Amino acid sequence: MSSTELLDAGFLRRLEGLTLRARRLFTGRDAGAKRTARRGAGLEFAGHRSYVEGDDLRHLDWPLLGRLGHPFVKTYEQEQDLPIHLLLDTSRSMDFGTPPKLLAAARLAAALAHVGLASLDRVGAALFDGRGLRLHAPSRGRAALWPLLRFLAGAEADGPAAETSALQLHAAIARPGLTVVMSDFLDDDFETLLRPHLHRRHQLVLIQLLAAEEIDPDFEGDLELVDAETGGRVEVTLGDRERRAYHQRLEAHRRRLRDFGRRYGAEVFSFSSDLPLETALWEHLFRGTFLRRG
Amino acid sequence: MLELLHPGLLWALGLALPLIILYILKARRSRRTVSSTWLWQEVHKDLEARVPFRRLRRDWLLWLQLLILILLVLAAAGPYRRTQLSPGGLTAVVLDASASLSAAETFEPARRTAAKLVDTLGPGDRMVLVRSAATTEVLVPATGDRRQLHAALEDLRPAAAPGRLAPAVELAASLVGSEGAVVVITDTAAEVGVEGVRVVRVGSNAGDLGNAGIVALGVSPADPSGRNHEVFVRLFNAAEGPVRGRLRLLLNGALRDAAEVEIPAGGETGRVLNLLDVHAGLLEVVWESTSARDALEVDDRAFWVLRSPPPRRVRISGNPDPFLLRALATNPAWQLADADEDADLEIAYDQTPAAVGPPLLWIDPRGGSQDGTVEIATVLTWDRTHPALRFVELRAVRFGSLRRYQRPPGARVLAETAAGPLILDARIGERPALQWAFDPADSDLPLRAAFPLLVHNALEYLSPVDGGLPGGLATGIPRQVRWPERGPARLLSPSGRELELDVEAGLLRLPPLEEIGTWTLAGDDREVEFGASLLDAGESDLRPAPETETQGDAPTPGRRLQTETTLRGIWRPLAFLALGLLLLEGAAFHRRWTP
Repeated sequence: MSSTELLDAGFLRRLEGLTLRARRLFTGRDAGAKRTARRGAGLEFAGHRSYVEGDDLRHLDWPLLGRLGHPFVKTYEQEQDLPIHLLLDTSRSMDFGTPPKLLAAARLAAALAHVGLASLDRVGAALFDGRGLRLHAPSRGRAALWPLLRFLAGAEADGPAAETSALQLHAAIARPGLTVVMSDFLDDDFETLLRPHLHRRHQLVLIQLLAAEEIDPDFEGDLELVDAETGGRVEVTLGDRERRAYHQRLEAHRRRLRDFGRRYGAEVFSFSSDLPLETALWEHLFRGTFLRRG
Repeated sequence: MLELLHPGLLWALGLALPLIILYILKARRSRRTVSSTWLWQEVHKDLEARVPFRRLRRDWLLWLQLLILILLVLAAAGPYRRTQLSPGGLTAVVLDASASLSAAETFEPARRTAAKLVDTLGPGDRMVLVRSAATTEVLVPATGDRRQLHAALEDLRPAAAPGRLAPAVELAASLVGSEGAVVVITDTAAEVGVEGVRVVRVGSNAGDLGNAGIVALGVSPADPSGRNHEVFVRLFNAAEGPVRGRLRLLLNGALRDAAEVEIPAGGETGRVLNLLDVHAGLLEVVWESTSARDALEVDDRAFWVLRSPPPRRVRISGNPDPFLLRALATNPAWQLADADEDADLEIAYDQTPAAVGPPLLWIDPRGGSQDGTVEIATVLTWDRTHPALRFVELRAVRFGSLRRYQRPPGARVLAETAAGPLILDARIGERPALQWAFDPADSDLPLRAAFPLLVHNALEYLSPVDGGLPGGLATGIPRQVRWPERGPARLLSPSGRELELDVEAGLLRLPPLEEIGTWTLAGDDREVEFGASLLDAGESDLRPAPETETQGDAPTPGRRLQTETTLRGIWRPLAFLALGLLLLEGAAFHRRWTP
């Protein structure tokens, strides 16, 4: 895929004015537009504290000193950039669907990256699968968009199933922030996969992308199903009864993902890869809290 | 009824078992790569994949294949139907349409039976439809057109006349020849008289309902005035018990006499009704049963036309003896005409008559082929049944100077002496004639009572009143009528149908009539009405014969038909159906397995 395939100029303009927000306060590296837990030279008044030697006398609250006879200094919230991490599953299962799930994920990631960079946030990306982690270092500024798009465009869904170690590494080296994980999550143990980021207090946004044929299988009869990632085989005779059971199983899995999100404060979205990008953004992601108008 | 040529092949239906086993055996699966099999493993825990057999599913392809198998096995087993008509065969159906068929619930079963036979016609089969009543009529000549046959059956109505089945059956047999079949549908118990004919007897419960009707009607003058009449009616009761009812005499629709009548079971009774002070009119006798339901209506009415004809005129040529003139004078129905006047009859006395003229009584024919005179002769034989000699006693009559002459060609001798013919029924030119080979004056006949009877009989025979057509006739019987006009006559039925009748030598032949009511025989200058009635005890008797098995709809195969029954195979439609289903299955399989 090419970087122009991910986003076009017209759609970029529609993304202007959006911003990514985290429910928690994260500490950025540079000054930015997001509130942080750090006190400093910001504009937002945070409170008072007792004067200690060395404090800038410009922050001394003189009226309070006159009233109470004790020196206090005013503290301000420091506004910094928000660390945003876009994680894309590149295992072979992401190559299914029309368009492929990975392409849909890359488009979403490109759109979110643009929104983040436009809001002076620091946006990084990572591709993970069973082979490990490919990282695009977080960067900020609009100029960082195109290198990031090229990175995303170079993603290929040809790896084995993702392993915990890759995400453990990412969680270890990445500054805690808003972490958007895009995968099909067709794994019985996806909680283990995400646990490192939870330990590092990342705010997770989980976007589950499914192919249309995974939501409603379009085949029937006597089949030998081959797992694209593991090569495992399952013989099934698919009829109406089996189709109904599959739907029930899939729905149970999605419910489990949503429960996980509720438990750990993660926002969870699930939709088909053939959903148009605009629809995915405005009708799904915009219903959450992490994507807002500036 | 479906039968099989090779029922043993039905064992092949056992092939359904391996077919089902094939379905429950582990199927060869097509391979498909999916993003993850994890959910599928969860869904199934596919036990079926681990055992050699699986549960038999409701798979419509299986049922389709079973159906195809059954059809193919049935087709191979040679199914056939036993058809009653041979392919390309010819069948004549004789439908009895006599008066008794018009009884309640009788004719419709007969018509339905015939229609069912029409429905059995196969490709190449042909059928002749023959209607049998007083006359035989070929309604539809040999055809395979079922529509035409059904239409003819729909139009068919029973006649008000006795049936004559034998000629119809003989005609039908001659039409189909030795290879064809004849089916007779009738209510009569009598044998049809032709071997190998299949008889389907139809009937109703009319015998249980009972029927009584008029079987004879006669009208005669009660006195010489000609104004008072006696109407004789005979009634027949075909019911199991006695029947009571009322007999009414209507003149031109007005009641003139009536009588209460009881008819014994299975018997007859007669009644005389009086008709006073009447010259002419239409008499109608109506029987109304008051004690039981009457199944047949057509025999409950009888008709007679009472006519008052003008006196007939007789012309005498020659010099008749006074005995002849005296005998003529005793009959008021005849008047003497002058020699140059038109007359209804001519008496040529010792004269040679012309070849053209009215009917002729030729007495002492000297101009004939006489070859001598016999002095004394007595009568040896005479035809007592001939109308000209009715009630005439010629024994011991002595004739003098009897003319001996040779019998003219075509003449019939009515009385004969040892010396030769005495009285002949002959034809002189175109003239019907009676020849007396004797001179009454040279015999003792004028002194006997037989003489006026002989004269009267001769006149009535040669020139009967109204051509010999009585005021009432029984339907179904042909009759010859003297008709003085040369041109064809028209016969008008009560329902308005018209039939043209040719006149040959002063005679016309009335066909058997099939309607009751008032008929009209009309020529250019004259018109005669007469009544027609059923008057047939056989048709009134609707009781089934004891040996007759009454059948409603189900025909029984006759001997000839049984031998000609053919087997019509029906494997082709089964095979074509199986082929079609195979194509359907192929299309469905292609659709199922083609991505």
